[in-house]
Amino acid sequence: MKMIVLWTDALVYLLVIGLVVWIYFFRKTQEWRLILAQLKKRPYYLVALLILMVYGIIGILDSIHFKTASNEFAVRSVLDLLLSPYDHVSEVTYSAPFATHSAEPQVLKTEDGHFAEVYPKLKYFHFLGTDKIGRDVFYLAIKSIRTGLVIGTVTTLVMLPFALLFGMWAGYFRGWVDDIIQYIYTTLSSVPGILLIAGAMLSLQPKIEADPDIRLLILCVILGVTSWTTLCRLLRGETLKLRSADFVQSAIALGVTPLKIIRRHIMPNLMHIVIITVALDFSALVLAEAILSYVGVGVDPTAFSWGNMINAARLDMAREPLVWWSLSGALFFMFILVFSANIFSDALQKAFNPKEN
Amino acid sequence: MIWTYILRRILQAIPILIGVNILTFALFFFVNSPDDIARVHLGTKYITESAVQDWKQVHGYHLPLFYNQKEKNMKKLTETIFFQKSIKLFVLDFGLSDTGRDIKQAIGERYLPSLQLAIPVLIIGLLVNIAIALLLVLFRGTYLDLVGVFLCVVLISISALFYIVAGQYLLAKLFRWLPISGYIDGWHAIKFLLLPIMISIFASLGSETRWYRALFLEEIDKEYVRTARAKGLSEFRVLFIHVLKNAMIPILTGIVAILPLLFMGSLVMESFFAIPGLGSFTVDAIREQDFAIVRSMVFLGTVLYIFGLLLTDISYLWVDPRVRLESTQ
Repeated sequence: MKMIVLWTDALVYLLVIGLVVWIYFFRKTQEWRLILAQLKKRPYYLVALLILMVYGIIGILDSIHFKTASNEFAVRSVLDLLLSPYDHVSEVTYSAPFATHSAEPQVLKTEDGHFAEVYPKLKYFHFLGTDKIGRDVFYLAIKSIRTGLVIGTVTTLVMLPFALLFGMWAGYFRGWVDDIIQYIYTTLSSVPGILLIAGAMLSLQPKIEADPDIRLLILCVILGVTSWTTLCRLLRGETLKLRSADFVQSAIALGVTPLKIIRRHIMPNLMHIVIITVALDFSALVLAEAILSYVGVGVDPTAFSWGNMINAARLDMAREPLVWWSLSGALFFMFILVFSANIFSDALQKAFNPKEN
Repeated sequence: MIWTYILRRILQAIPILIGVNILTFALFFFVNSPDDIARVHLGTKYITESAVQDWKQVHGYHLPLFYNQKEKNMKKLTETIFFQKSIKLFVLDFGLSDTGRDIKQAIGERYLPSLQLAIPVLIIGLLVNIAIALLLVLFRGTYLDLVGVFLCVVLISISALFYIVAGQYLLAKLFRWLPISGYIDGWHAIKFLLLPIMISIFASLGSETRWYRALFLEEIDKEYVRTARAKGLSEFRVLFIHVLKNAMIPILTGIVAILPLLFMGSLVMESFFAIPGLGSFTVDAIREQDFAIVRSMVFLGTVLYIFGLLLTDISYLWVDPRVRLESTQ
């Protein structure tokens, strides 16, 4: 058995390490106490957090890849191992949830030598049914979690340094630095997001080759480039406000270097904006993935993603009898993730907004 | 003068357009060389270098990027890809698509269906969302408000694709009230547009209503509201006349914020419902990898967005006397 680290895997590990380190330092701050107070006050926030953690654990398990000696070509993840045998077996075609037989008849040779239309018996039990080529819908939906999480989090990881750095520079130094940074983000945000993403994905397509992992990474980078402008604008505004605050003015008067002022006095006071924006962006990005896949500039068509599942299942709705399980499976798992993230970001907003309390 | 205010806003848009032009040029000709474009269209297998050169010659990609040494005088600069493909966008000369169609003519044929879809969505959506938000604020603190906000969060969390598929299935396939998709010219278009309009409005209901509710709640504690109540006005009148009027500036700003979303929304809507507008034009171009059309649409989309910004700035003059006063000084 040999472990394999894909590019996005490495970033996922980095994110997990970053999160642990961040929590270690963050747990002593006022913000941490405010969040905890909210979680204690309203138990449904806690439920949302728990669901997010379950999704997170599934995503992490799906990010540990390895090859076995018996099959050199199949890259499997720990999650595949847990969901075995659904990762490598498939039925012939559609079958409904809890069904024992396929939903589509097949012409087969019967025991007495005649040909007859029969509904083939399923090899395994499928709790959410199977799709057109007989793959287990539950397995597909669970495998799509990783893609959704990677798009929601790695994109943030990519854009956060730029937004923070540029936003604080512009707000602190003002003058020509501010002019240039404002010009850059105004220009970027003037292009309708979906068109910029489509344009960038199209131009990079010949370079991405056929690696779904690289394509996912590039998509995250492009989404990051198009989405940092909003946060940057917010941070610039807040920095401008903070800069004229008394405590920053006195620090300047005492001769503290700009770098130190930004790190000690400005950045800690921007954290609540960063946290809220990251949480809100996360759910928007997970939803955007499905739209992008539909337009044809999303993740690789062979990758596991809710967007791809919905895209493939769209035409199922026109079938008789109606094939609804594939579509609803993808939409349900996506909804639970986005809904929990929205509820949790509501908790964050409440924690940092004294007016709401 | 008011005109200098407007003129200043127009002049401010020019550097942004130049920036976008350079950005698209870099994206489509540096990241992706003309050779790459030719290879995408010719297919990757069994193509000769001469086939690539021929394709570039036919589609005007054979010119040098910035400076043409073979030509004389001004033609040194004009007979280049940068001038032919990028500078010409400023006068909305989009040239030919990679399959040889006239892009400007296609846009001329397709903008009407797009507007027929986008304008009702914008106006009806605005009215519905603001009305619901004001009602929630009117009943603030009650269970109605709580349930309303909760429903908004649920609506936000559902993929737009679900609304489309479910709406299409329920209203068109099951009840057969409306056609599933398609489009015809003239007044009968409304039959085909009704479903996408309804779904578009419904899909943005959650986020919009929540946003407007927060906006109105900001206003509710201000002094003018207290004065209005002290005068003995009914809460309904206070909200729907006084608060609404004073919230016009953020509402207008919000409209600009959703303009690009409207573009994104109609992109998917149009292609789902087979409406021959600019959105489905763009989606088709993306799927066929027609770089010329995508490049044109990126620029056109930006121009429309900046135009929307300009309209908002001008409408500030109309809703807020303070802006009018400042601009005349």
